[in-house]
Amino acid sequence: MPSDARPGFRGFRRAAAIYLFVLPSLIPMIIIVGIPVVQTIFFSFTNLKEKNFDLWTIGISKAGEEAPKCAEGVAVKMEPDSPAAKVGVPDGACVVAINGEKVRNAGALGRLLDKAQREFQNKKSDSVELKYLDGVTSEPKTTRVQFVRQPFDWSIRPDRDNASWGLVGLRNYRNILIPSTESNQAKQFYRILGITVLWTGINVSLHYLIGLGLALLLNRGVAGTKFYRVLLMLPWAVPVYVSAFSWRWLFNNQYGFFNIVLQKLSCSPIPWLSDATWTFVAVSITNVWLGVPFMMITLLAGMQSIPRDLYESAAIDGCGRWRTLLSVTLPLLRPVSMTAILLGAIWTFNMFNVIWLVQGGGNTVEILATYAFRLFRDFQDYAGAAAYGTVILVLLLLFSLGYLRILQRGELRA
Amino acid sequence: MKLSTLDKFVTHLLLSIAALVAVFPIIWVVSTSFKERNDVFQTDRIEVIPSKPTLSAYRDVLTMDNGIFRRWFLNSLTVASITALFGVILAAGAAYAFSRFEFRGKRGMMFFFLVTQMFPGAVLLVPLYFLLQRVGLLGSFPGLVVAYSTVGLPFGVWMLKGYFDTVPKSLDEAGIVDGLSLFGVFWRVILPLSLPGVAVTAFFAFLTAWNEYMFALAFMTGEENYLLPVGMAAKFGDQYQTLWHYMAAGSVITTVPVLLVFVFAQRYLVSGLTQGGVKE
Repeated sequence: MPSDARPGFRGFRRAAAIYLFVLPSLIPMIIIVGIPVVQTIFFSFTNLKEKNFDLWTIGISKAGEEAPKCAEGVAVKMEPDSPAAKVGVPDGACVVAINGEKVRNAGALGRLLDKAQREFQNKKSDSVELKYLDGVTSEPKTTRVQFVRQPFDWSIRPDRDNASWGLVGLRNYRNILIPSTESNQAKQFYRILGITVLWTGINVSLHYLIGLGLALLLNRGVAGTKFYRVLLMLPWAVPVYVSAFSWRWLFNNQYGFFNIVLQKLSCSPIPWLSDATWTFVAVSITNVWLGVPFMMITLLAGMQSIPRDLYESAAIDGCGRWRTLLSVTLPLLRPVSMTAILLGAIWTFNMFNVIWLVQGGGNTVEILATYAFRLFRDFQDYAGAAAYGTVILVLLLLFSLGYLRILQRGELRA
Repeated sequence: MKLSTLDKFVTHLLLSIAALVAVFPIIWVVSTSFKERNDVFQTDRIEVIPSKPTLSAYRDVLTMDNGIFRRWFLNSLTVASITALFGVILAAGAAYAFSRFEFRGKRGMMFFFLVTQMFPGAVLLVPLYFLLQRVGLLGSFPGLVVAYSTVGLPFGVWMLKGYFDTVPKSLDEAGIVDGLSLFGVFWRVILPLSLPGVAVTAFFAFLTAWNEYMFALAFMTGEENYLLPVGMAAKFGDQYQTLWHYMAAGSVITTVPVLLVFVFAQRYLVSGLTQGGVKE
């Protein structure tokens, strides 16, 4: 009996039930990913930059665990030269009250400091009243601390509410995309775009070719195949920062495995992570190592779902090994390959972690995603970073749509 | 296809070389972790098996600063476990709907999930930072859990859908004949039959949180609130100087638990991908 025969499963109630299943993942995706993406696209039309972030602070925060325990209140750490330090609050002091409200625990400290900051931003007050225990006498003391402006620092909290910025139309995009004589931003963009395309092309090709080769070997089913498969999948399971660290260590100019081996072979060592070309080679090797298991397993899975009798009839028709590969395996693997390549290309294009971590935060080799992050972190040009992010999104969208289109056309012909 | 002896030999040879390449960087880290500081910084000797093996790096890592490393381990374990739980709960419903029903907006939603993979996470960091700040979750573990379980959703939905696709539709219909609601079919038929798939998806959500570096770096302040990757990077290595043996010992401690689960779970992973995850 078809499910729609039951009254409760028809029409509106059925549709409502289906959407109830979807919402738990759709709502978080919209709030945590969708809205930030839209916001970023919006910011790419503004001039939100460092000088437009005003960060005001009195320079105290909760002390680490090494600070002595307080009989009352919470121990605080003092930024050097901060306003609080200047009025004589000692490092490690126990703060018992902020603006007359009791500080019972670390959470309360953060909350009350945030509240004081908000009051300041809303121009309700220009200072904060701190009550703390004097380190020597344990006598409570009260003092007022003024807020000061701090240069924007990623490790401290930026506050957009307090920033002044405005719309600038397409200026950020014009700077990035259209070459001009006064700035080399566009030149920079096209150079990094070139590297990113090269990086994606080389990596995805190698992922696919090596993955396909290994999958074909595993699919032969020799003794110990399962064992090989587990070993070959291991790079997938290791945390990326551990792999990146491991390769950075292998590539180390002085103490690294590769250079010691090269020296033993009386070759000159290779400047792996200082020369631009060699750095590119090094990060590519790392990323190929990381990405092959996914491709291999996906292709192996695809191969195992190809019906056996197709191979048998190919054998009966007298097809050799290459002929079978070219006219049975690869064509039937096409849908799987295409999906895996598309995903692989998108992931590789934005492969921030490998580029960033293998170079230990260095920037000898940069792709668009790392440059966008650097624009924000080093130049505090958030609007510029947002424009980069949007350009990346548009490029990948165009690529995916073109790719899917070619894919569909190919299927129609087949 | 019959393989000749030569074919078998070549296959074993190639697979062995590939397996060695796959495993070597891991072995090298393990080897480094058992070395003394002086043996790590050697410029002319290669010791894959340390000549003077020592546990001193492990001891130092586990005891430094009143065991801050153990604190990070616990932080990571907590955040990753809750992320895994949330990730599966959130993904399962959508995976069920995508696997079983045609409905308006389905294609759009799947496309939206794909598009989210195209936006560089490093740029998304900033609005997410402001968002968490606004709702008061910045610098808190719940904030991280929310971010991780959502960011991992597309992959989770995609994998779970693959596993659900392997459950024959006739079982749904039988369930409905027996008087089950749509939720009943999901809860009593689909989920119990795809438990291995659910476990693997949970494991991958766990890995997302266990391995993540950037969000944890940007959102958490205070050394005692770090997760493992950030803590290790801050304590053992930066661009200028890296304490390789500590980093290695920390990496081994971090990796061994997930590696054990992975070796156990990988056959379900392969079967899930085989059965439908990649057929779309």
